[in-house]
Amino acid sequence: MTTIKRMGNLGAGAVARLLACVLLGFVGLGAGPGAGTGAAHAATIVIVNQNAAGVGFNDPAPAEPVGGNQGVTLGEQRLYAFHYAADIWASHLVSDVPIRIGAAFLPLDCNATGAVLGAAGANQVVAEFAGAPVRGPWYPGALAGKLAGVDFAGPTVPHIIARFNSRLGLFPDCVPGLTFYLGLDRNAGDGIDLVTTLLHEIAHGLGFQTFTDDATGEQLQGRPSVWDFYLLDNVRERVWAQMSNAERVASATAWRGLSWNGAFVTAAVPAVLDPASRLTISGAAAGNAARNYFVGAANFGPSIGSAPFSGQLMPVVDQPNGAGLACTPLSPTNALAVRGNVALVDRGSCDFTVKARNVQTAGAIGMILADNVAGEVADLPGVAPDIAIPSARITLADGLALNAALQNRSRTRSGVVARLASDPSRLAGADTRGRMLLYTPNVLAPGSSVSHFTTEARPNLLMEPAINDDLLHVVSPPRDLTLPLLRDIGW
Amino acid sequence: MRPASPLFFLALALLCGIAGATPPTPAAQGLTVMRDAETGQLRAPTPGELKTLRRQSSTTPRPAPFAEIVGPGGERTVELGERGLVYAVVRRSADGTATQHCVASAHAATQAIEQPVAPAGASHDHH
Repeated sequence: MTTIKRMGNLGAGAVARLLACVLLGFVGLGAGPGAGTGAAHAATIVIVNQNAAGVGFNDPAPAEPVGGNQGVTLGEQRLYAFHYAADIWASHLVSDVPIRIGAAFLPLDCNATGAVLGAAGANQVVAEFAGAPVRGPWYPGALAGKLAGVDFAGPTVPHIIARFNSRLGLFPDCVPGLTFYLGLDRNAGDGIDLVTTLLHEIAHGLGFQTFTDDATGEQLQGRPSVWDFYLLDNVRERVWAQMSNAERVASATAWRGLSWNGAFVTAAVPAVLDPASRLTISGAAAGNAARNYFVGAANFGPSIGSAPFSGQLMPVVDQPNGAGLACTPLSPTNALAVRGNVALVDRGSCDFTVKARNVQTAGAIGMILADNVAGEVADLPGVAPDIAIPSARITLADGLALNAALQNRSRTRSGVVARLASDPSRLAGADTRGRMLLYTPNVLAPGSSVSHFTTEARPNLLMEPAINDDLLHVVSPPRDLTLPLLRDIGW
Repeated sequence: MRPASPLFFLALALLCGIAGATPPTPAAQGLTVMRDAETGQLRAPTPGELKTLRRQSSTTPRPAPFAEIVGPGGERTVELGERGLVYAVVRRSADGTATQHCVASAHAATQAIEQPVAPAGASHDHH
């Protein structure tokens, strides 16, 4: 269950200090340390409204009910969505110590094209407490309280801090028009689904993060995080807690190099993840390009698993530099090349779905999209019910290799065959031993690396670094792996 | 009642002055030395070196160290506060599509939203 506590008339900078006064009454009524002595029961999440009167959760601007959100003011709807997301988490967690989220909608950084949506995290970490499954590492405060049956934060301090942008989309200097969708029905359209964002951020606050610096490898106060006992270098078969700073830094930028070595997640992986897809290149003219390639799957068109296919690979060429963007209907020459074949196109200038539609209209039976920037394999987002051909994405380097093999083609034949099919040896997002992969791009993305699931996961998961449009408000198998991971660390 | 002496007022004025002064910054208070690149000896910095040091000091402030508190049961607690936050950011490309991403620090979040907007399709995840 969740409880909402209002904390009015406070300035944003002073709320943490003043929180104590307001929470005293609540904790004194049964949420204190004594609560840890009874039988374990479903968690209670207390949302502490830290906004001043008239702003944030207390914004009196009238609002029409939307998507099941019954609030009649902007502030009420924000609070209702918060309550809804917290309730989802509370229904899955067990703790005798109420979890307090100090929450506020505040003006956060933004400009005309970008904004901080919000932020959340553990307010404190605790180590060396009685009841810790592993003595020594840092546990997030809420989890430590659950494990020990003691509220280490004290009765007046939140375990999790959550801040969200009160100006998003509502002002010309804050991504005008791009607002939080406050409904509960995932019908966000072009808006930002607040409930999904909340579920993601609250998970970080519950412990879906390491407190070890992923850029330097340094542990917080020289002590590992509980996260680091499950973060496994899958080449060395050693966990982060056993590694040196330099080894941790190296593994944080090794693509597919870090797996989650937790029993709950590993057991759930087969039920959650789809088979991975792979591209196999063969044929008389394939030369050095003949091999298997990792691919990113498309959110549109038939899935490769259900519709494997193969065909001759032919490039689209519609740019002076030899690239093929396929952003406009194909020329007769390009249409002749791709008809009945698999079209190779380049990323850029228009939506993926536009490219797929254009090559489909020209008669292609599939599309391989080569990235235009160096990096790892990523998915092909997009919604297009009219696309009936399968598509997949390859890296820039792999695209260059395929283009090299296609240099000696005729107008209709290349002698290079592309086959897209499921990879029987791998699940999409897992390592070869069936363990879930973490996000470790070759170029470190501070805070995105290591503390998120890989972007290769299919279906998309709540705790990938990018929040995808197709996420459900679900945190557990068979749709998601976030809850099993929290179970692994002690929840 | 005997009138106060001028010395008394002077003492009061001095005390007021001391109380009202802005405390000097630690950098101004401390002794700053440089290791000479040629001799390896410590020496006072030149005005130019001092300026550079102060600039570096002000642009790369070190966060205050965390305080570790030992509780009655021997448990250790560190208050992370805002430094424990993970940030969700959104970027809108030239064609209006939005991409959300998650980063760990306020600095990374600011960097993420202040990047120049890429032309449609240049690096956006929908193209």
